[in-house]
Amino acid sequence: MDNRFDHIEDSLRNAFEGFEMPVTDMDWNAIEAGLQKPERRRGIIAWFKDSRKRRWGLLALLLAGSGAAYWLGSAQQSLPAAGKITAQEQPAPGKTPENVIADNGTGVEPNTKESGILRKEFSAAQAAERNNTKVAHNTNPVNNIYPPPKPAERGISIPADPEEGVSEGTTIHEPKPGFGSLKGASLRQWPVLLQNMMLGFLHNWKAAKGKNPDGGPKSGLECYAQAGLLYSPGKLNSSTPSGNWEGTQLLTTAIPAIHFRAEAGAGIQVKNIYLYSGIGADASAQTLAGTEYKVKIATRWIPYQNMQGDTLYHLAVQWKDSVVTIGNRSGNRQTQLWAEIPLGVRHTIRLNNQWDLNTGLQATFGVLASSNRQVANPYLGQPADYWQYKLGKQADYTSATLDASEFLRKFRAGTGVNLGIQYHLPKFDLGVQTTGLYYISQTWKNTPWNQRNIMYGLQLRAGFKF
Amino acid sequence: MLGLCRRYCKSEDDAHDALQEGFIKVFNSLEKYRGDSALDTWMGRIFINTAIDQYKKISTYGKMFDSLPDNAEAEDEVYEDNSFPCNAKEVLLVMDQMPEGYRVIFNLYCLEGFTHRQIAETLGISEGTSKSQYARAKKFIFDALVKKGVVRG
Repeated sequence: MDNRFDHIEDSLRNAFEGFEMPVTDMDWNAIEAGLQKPERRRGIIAWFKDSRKRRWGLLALLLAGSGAAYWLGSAQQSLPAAGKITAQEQPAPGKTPENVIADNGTGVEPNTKESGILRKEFSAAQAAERNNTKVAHNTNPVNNIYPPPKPAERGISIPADPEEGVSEGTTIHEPKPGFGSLKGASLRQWPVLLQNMMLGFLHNWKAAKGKNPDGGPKSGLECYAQAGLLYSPGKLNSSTPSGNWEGTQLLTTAIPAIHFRAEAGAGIQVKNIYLYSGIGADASAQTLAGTEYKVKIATRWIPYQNMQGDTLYHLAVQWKDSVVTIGNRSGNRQTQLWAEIPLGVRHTIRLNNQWDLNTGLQATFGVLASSNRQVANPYLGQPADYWQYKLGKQADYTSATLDASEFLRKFRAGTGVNLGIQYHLPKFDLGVQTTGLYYISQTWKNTPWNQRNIMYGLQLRAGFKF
Repeated sequence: MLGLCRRYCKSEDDAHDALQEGFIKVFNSLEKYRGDSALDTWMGRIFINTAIDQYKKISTYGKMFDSLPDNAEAEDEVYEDNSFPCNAKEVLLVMDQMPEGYRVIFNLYCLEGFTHRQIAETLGISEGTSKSQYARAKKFIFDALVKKGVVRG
């Protein structure tokens, strides 16, 4: 029946024949302002859409990367040691390098694959011993990046840093395993010192892998998955726009929400500390069902230009289209789905052989993936069955304070705390934890981060060790 | 053009927004106008696309149209041959009560003269969905006008 207009269609088409509505001055002003507005840029993405700029950008990145690599390489060769050990920490006469390694507190057994690297470092020391000289041994692979220390005699001062010429009695300066001192480091030394810190962390982790001298969880890689229900006590009104959303509506009812939150990721356990990151999802649904009483103030965004010529928007209130709604929300409760990237740290206290007590801190960043109601325009969020009463008849614009534009996508950032217990099984741990999260988020895309949201609840957690 | 926007939008405010956005697009795209069609036709298409884009910004856009297979038969009803006079405001009031999916397809098919194939391509839905939604939209309007006493049932 394509394009075959019957009589109903003819009547309807005739009804709209020549139908037009008057365009107001405000429309033309808005159009004029919109035409004067500079084209919106989307940061680096828009920049990289330009193929010419993309080529130059990649070339610049390549050059910068090569320069950085060269700089790091040359810095490693020229930088002196930063840490120090005392002469008393040198190996006792008669001790073999292997014994020294076994005693060095790292827990790495001699004659194992792990200690192979360490043993290689003693080749210079063995040669020195054969020549009846005392050598300050370097037992840390981190120090491979430094030149071998010069032979030293007890009681003779050796400067810590040839450039500084510092002398400290009988101490022999040598890189400290792990975290070198950054204090007083020159700009040139920073990359190497940072590298030293990272290698030190890895070294500590390698040395502690599969063990924990403090009696806590064994160090290693761990994947985790957790899920649970959280509750968000939303109290919506214009002055405290917390809860789920909607900063511009005056609601006489609070709309709390239930969140189903799931998260999975991986992390690294070093002794009692677990650092992790992953991906998560937070699906929320308003819990309010039944009758709803709502006062909705109609708003419009009025563009204007400030003294600098920038186009800004005033939120104006229009009484003409404002409504009082009495409705039933049960058929149309708002749901939202947020995608999240959590990043966290957890500390474990071993209670006994089976149980751990965990405390954790988390930071998370989320983007609204979908919602069953239009986020950009709250007008459309009507309850399933509603009755509404329109206020007034004349347009009455009252300027409000928000500067914003109306777009759909919005972001949020949050911090949280966890407290929980977990039970050990051979390959994995099972636990339960209480979670509290505090979010700040945008009302709409490109609007200020002026919404606050708290949620708390229980989550089940499973950790899988490698 | 505001009348056209109003047909697609659920409120006058939204229509004004679509009009403003549409005119900005028109002015920014004037250099692309090749004169293949009349200027008002070309502009009209831009305004229609702008109005449709507004729907696409809604996160529930995908649920606006009940999906049906391509080969689904449209629920076409036969109405008595009783053409009736009605004015645009009456029909607009009825259209404001319509589900958004009905509204868009009714506008495109009945008032713009698109074919169901063109509608399917424009909205990213199947042809069967377009046909069925249009049939339901027509029934919705007919029933509402009967209730209002504009048309004899």
